[in-house]
Amino acid sequence: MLHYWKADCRRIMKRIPRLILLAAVFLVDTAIFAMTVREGGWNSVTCLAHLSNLVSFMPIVFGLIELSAVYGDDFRARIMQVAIGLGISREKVVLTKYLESAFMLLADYLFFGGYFLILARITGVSLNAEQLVELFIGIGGAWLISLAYTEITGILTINLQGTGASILIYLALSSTLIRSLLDSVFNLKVIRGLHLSRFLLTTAGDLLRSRLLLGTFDAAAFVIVLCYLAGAYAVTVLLFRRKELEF
Amino acid sequence: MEQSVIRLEHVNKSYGKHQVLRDVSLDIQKGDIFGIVGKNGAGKTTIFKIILGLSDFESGKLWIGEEGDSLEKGRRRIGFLIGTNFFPYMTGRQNLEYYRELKGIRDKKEVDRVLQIAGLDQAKGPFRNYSLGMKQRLGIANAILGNPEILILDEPTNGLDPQGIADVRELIQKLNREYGMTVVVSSHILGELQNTAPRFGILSEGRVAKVITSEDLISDHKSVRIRVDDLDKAREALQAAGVEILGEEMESLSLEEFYFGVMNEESGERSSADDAPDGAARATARR
Repeated sequence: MLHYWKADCRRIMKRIPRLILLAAVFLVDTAIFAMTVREGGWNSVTCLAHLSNLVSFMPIVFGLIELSAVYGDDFRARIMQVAIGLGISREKVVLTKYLESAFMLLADYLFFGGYFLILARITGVSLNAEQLVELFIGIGGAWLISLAYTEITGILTINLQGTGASILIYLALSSTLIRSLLDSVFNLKVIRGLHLSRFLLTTAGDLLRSRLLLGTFDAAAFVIVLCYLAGAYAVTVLLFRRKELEF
Repeated sequence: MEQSVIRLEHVNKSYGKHQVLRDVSLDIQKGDIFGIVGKNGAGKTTIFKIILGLSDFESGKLWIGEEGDSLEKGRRRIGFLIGTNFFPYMTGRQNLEYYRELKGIRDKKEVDRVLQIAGLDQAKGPFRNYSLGMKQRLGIANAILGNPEILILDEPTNGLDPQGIADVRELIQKLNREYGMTVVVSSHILGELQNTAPRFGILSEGRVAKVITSEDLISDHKSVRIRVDDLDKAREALQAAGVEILGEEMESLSLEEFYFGVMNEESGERSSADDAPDGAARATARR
């Protein structure tokens, strides 16, 4: 499994279309950053606010890029089939793809953080320790959410052996569409008292992040996020175990 | 006693109401070259998919590898060619480097070795630009990457020219002879399989109709070919001995032998034409 993971990560990191897309994203972000600096009132507080705002958009951007990169070529070349034929269990194949997504997304977010901190220094702004912690908690939270969305859509991706439908679901998850829908349902009189919204992934993620910023750790929120990750994996494997695969 | 490396016992498989494998039992011994022959849709690829874990089956048993191996452990002993599974934007070498890493093979020279065996060491450009024959050769190179104990080849001569087909046949026999690889090869081209494997399973409508060896083909036959220097005297001698001559056939070359004869002559003529003062070429066919 480790060999599969390493071979794929190495391959995906060198994939030109992915690098071009990421470069385009950073170019646009840099342009927005530059325009914000030019508006005036630029200091560490406004810089942090701007970067935190940018980070909030990254789950959609990085998530879609890596969903395509991790799975697209794999399906075209039918590498999952090869891995299974070489004796890697289906459970490990699914886990490998999730670990690839985790690694790629982490690399994207860490590069994002490092890149914009350097840009901030160039514009004469330096974040203090507290602000750095706030920024990286925000980045960590965005990474976790991106990963959870990728895993949830992975149920479809892996079992349909295609990215078409899962891209649409990912867009729906990472936009406010599904959250608004669920909020409306959970606010219905009959179930309002159950306080089900606290079990939503985004609610748990927000709670985890805000508590960390206050210097505390919300274990319950963390467990909820882990349940989404583990649950998505379990459902994917359950369905994938008996799936007929073609060469 | 020979050791089984792949064994299916009474395997049944259906897709909905359509039964694709009926009570299939096959025993492939270590060191075999085993041919599976059957028309399109007979179940050859389904058997391979079951062995490789891509397809499940309703009933029966499957063993792979040595005694006590789990199916996953057994599969790690297998190299296979079923379709061509490569990244179109990568070169053949880059694709094999990827697979070398995926298979956990440390020796970087292994890729050079298999590319040379497959005749692709000079191939340039991305995989998407390869001819069908080149794609097939790359598939074979990938299958033998890492010297697996068991080789599964699903129609390995698809898309190959006569020289390529002969090369694959020789390669399979060499891998079996020199590396002790057990080879399971499928084809719907009977003549080609007969030249490659000494043992065959004949599939028909999802059933193993028969398992035979090349000796069975000889022992079931009632005629023998004798070379003589005088045909008329031979006829008289047979008749005098009371042997009835049931029929006569003129011996002919196979198309393959004729083809290679022409090719050899052509390449011989091209090199001597370069030396000959008048550049004349002869075009005679051998009978």
